[in-house]
Parts: sequence; structure tokens; C-alpha cells
Amino acid sequence: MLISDKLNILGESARYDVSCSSSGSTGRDSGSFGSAAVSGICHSWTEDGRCVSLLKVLMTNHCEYDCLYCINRRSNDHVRAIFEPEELADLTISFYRRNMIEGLFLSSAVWRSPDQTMERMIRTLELLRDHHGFGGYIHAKAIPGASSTLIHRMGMLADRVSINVEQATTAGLKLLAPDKSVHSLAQPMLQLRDGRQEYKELMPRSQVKKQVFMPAGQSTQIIIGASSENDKQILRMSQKLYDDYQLKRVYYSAYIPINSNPLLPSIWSAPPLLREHRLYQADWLLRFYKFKSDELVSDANPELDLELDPKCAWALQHLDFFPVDINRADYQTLLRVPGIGTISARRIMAARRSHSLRPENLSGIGIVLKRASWFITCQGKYVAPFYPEASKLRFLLSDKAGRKRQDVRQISLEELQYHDTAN
Amino acid sequence: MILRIEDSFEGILTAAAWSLRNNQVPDAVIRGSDCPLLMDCHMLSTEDDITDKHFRYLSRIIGDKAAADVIFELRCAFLAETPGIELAVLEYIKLAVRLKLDPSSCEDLPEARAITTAARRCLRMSHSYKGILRFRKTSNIGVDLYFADIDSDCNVLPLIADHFADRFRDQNFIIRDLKRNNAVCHEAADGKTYFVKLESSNDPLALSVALPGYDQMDKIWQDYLKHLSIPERENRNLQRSNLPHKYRKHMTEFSLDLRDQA
Ligand code: SF4
Repeated sequence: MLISDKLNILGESARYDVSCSSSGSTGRDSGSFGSAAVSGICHSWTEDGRCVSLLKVLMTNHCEYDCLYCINRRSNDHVRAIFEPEELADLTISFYRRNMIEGLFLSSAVWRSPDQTMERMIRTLELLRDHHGFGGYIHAKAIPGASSTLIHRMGMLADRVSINVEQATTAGLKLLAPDKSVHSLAQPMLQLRDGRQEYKELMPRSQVKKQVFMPAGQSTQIIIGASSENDKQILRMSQKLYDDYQLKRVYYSAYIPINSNPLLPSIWSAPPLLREHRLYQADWLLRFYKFKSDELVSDANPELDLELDPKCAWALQHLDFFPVDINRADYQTLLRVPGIGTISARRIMAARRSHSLRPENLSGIGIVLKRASWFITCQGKYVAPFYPEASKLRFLLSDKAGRKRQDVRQISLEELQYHDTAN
Repeated sequence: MILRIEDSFEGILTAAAWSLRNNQVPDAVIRGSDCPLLMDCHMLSTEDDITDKHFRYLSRIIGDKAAADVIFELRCAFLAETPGIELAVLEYIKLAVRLKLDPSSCEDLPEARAITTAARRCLRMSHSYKGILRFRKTSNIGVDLYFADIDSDCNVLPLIADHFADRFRDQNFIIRDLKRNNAVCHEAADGKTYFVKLESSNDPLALSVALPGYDQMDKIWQDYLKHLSIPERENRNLQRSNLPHKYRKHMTEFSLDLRDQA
């Protein structure tokens, strides 16, 4: 089989993994060529609008496992291919030198056994790092069930390692991915967390930013809508992954019906893209706005409101918190205002050091007044033209008020990191 | 008073220095040799070390780091090539002196925003070009050479050259800016990176004739991207908003004629 044919097969098999980020790597000693950019760089965009930053590909799509939701599952009649480590290393270098990619995103199905798969992946990474002297970004997927020695080795070679938990509940995992156990997913994540911490502590104070073990941390992916989990269960798990497992990112992937099975949504059902988008917004609030999952979803309201972004939904339920004064509120309070993002909140704090902000200058600082004006005062004045009733305010803040839903819901992840979202 | 200055960042800084020293704001600052008919233009020669002079002046008031940040912000705003930036530079320096801080923290003020908006536009564009620039490889001229063309709205080449020189330090490359007729060259052997002006099509660096329009990896890359896209999520509007057509001209994956060249 031609290498280009393998690439097309194994690229197509990898496309359902939504992670595309190449950001967050600091301090790895670069090799003889190549580097990682802290903020990550998008190199292209595919026809589905997603950013391409890394050469995203599987080592192989031959799989011993039979996860119901997966195109590569053992029982699917599907064209199979496997890369030789040398082939994949050479391809990566060829693309990289032409500035088509930031590096490699290497995942794999389970070929023969978790250890044999990992050995082949690690061989590829060793060729890149040691033979080619490649200093670019590498994101590698660890295979659940692989030995701790191999997991550790992967952490030494890659900038980021991830293990996909795929399901938000144990029941969902048992039902849809019967070959994977909770232990086989959690154990390597804990090992990677501890390994990173140990290396961090070993570094001399002057070099704390030089992380040699998995400098960009670890991430995971959860499939949305393949089983019956609700947003509360998903966000609680994300919160735990950030707090206890110290993950850098949780990615959410709307389930695309590829396989026909009574346990799965109908093959004709549409992927829940808007729900996925709301989860990303809520996740953003967990990571950068100090929200807790319980503030966004509860036993009474276990699903995110699809018509409102989660911060607006929270604000509508906490009208007594508002209005806040732009010239007096602290940073954390500003972050709670719809239409004020992390960058605009920082700008407000910075500007206030030298002068008081005036109502007519607020949009210049990056505040989205269409949303924020209902929740703020400035120099003693309510900024919006009138005090709306709660039901009217809900309409004014909802997607119905004219936002283009189709385009916002698949916002590029790399773009989200680079620009402020003014949530 | 109309000031006529050299068309360069240093020329603009010279005009700002003149204005601060004379405590006078010119009615207009004109770059290059063209002066409006019947108008009295005062020609300013670019001062030596003018960037250093501004830095020293500012650092006495706002400190070294803030002064360096102000100069960088002004330089990025200049590279954005936004019309009317000349007087905005002067206002920005005056604001730094008046508030005794780096004005980039006061984006609510129009004098600050004129510069920060232009600078940010330029920085965003240079960040984009770090991704969308494509090298093609040729060995036709005896050594391995990677070359790329850009024609960006902002003058990003000075801002991206170091990134590529560091990343591809063991690689010979040329990036040509077709809009401004200049190029940055990097030689792997001695690690040198330098800018050159492309004077004419006979210039040895105007290599279009010697360089093939096709690289064997182009089609592999194009096909791979087609397979990477999820058909159920197709969203060309989003693709277009992330990557407007005008940026695709030199990107190999969008060359329609690859199949014929293969
Ligand atoms: S182990 Fe991975 S590749 Fe194999 S079926 Fe499960 S999800 Fe798919």
C-alpha cells in the first residue's frame, strides 16, 4: 500500500478526535530544528471549519476492541492500514519542513495488545526526537491498559499526552466500550499527573518553566450524545478532571452516528452540535472564570440551556447579583458579567489604575455592550437604555435575538485560545 | 505646518521628536517625496539613533520595560500600514508621558486605541502567517531550498522572520513578500538571516523562473486534508470566516491545479 493511501485511511480514521491544539508547551529543549509556540498555531482549516494544527493520524486502525460508537471497532468491515514508524516519522518531517503543521498528533487503535501498540508509537516518537532532532510539538494518545513504563516513556517524548475517557458515566463506558475499564483509564492519568509533578519539583527554581515531562500537560475527550448522560454528569466529571487529575483540557465531541446499534442513537440522528458548543462555553467558565459546575447545572436543571450561553443563563438566575459598577467591581465580579471576557476584564482593571472609565468608552475596551449593558453601571449610571423585565431580558440575550447559531457552534478551538471570547 | 518625512518608522519617530521639542503639533505629516501643491512643507531628515532617543526619553518617565513595550507597540502599528498613523504615534507618546505609563493599558481612550488596534491587527496577522505560509522545496539549484510567497495586508515579514529562522535553523529558505518586493533569506550553513530588496525580475532572488510551481508533498497534503474533514459537520462558512479566500492564494492545499501538475 502506498504511504499516501495509508495516510488517507489513517487520517480519516483519526478525524473524530477533536483535539487540535498545539498550545501550552513551554521550555522543552528544542532539537536541531523545530519549535513549539506557546499560544499554538493553526495551519489550515478543513471543510468542516476545524483548525488543522497537527498531523492528526492513527498509527493503525486495526483494533482488537469493539467500542460501539467507533468507526474502527473490530466488528466493522472497514479498510485497515498500519504505518511503519519510519514512514510516519518521515511524513511528519516532510510536512513540518514545509510549514504545513506544528507537529504530530498520534493516536491509535489497539493493535494486537496495548503494549505492542504503544511500543510502535513510541518508536515513531523516538525516531522524531532522537534521530531527526525534531523539536516541534507532539501530542500522543496513551493506550488504556499499557504498562506504566511505556506510559512514562511517552510522557518523556511528547509535549502532551491524552487518554480519552469517552463516556461520562461508568454505566455508559460498560455499555459502549466493554473492553475498557474505569481503572485502565484513570490509572495512567494519575500516573501522568504524578510524573509531571515529580519532574516539576526536581527542576531547580531558576528553571521551573523548563518542563521535560509532558510540558503541555494532559487532555481527554468525552463523546456527547452516544449514551444517556446529562450535562450535569459531564460537567461534574470535567470539574473533577481539572481539579483532581490536573488536566489542561477536556474536549467534547458530538457523537456522529456511524454505526447502527439499538444501544446508540439512530443512524439518521443529527450530531448534537449546539449542545457540544454549550458544553465548550461552560467548560471555558470552569477553567478561566472560576465557575463551579454546580453553578451552571443542578439536579433541578441538569441540562444546559440551549438558547442561552451558560454565563447569560447564570446571570438570569442571579439578577440580584447585578448591576455591578465597572469602576468599582473586582476582577472576579467583572468576569461574572455577560459580555465581559478575561481580556476586557483585565483591560478594565488596567485602565482604572490611571483614570475612571466613562460610559461612552466602554465598547472601545472590548466589552460586548449588547450583552453587558443590562448588567452594569458606570459613573453612577445604568448603561442600558432601560431596565428590562426578566422575560424580555432572556429574549434579548438568547440566540433568537439574531446571533448566527450555525457559525458560532463550531468555533475553532485554537482561535478560542488566541482571542478572547468576551463571554 | 506640514512635515515631510522619510517613509520609515524612524522617519515617523523623527517627526514625533520634532513635535515634542517644538511643543507644536503639525497639521499633517507626509511620508515620501510628494508634497501637496502650493503647501509649505517642512522637510525633516531622519535623525540617527532616533529609536534609542525615544526609548531613553520614555524610560526615564515610565521605566525600561514599559518604554520597550511602547516602542514595540508603535513599530507594530507602523507595520500595520494603517493610513494616518503618523500623528497617532505622536499622540501615543504624549499620552505615555502624561499618564506616566504604557498607554496600551488605556484602550478606552481614543489616542491609545488608534495605536493598539493597528498593532493588534498586525500582530494577529503575523501570527496567522506563521501558520498559513507554505514552503515548497526544490533541489533544482544544487542545494535544498525552501521558498514561500506572501502578499499580506500588513507588513508582517519583519515580525515573522525570526520565528522561521529559529524554527527552520538548519534549512535554507527564502520568503518573498510579493506586495512589497522584498524577501527574507536564511542560510543554514552559517545561520545568517537577512532582508533583501527585490529590485526587478532579473534579481537573482526573483526566482520564479527557476523554481517549480509544484512540490510532491503538495498533493499528499491536499488529499490528506480532504480525508480529515468530517462530512456530517461540513461548514464552509466557518472555514471561510477562519480563513478568508484572500489568504488562500499561496496555500498549496487550495491550488486547484495540483492534479494536472502531478
Ligand atoms: S479501542 Fe479505540 S479504536 Fe478501538 S474500537 Fe475502541 S475507540 Fe475505537
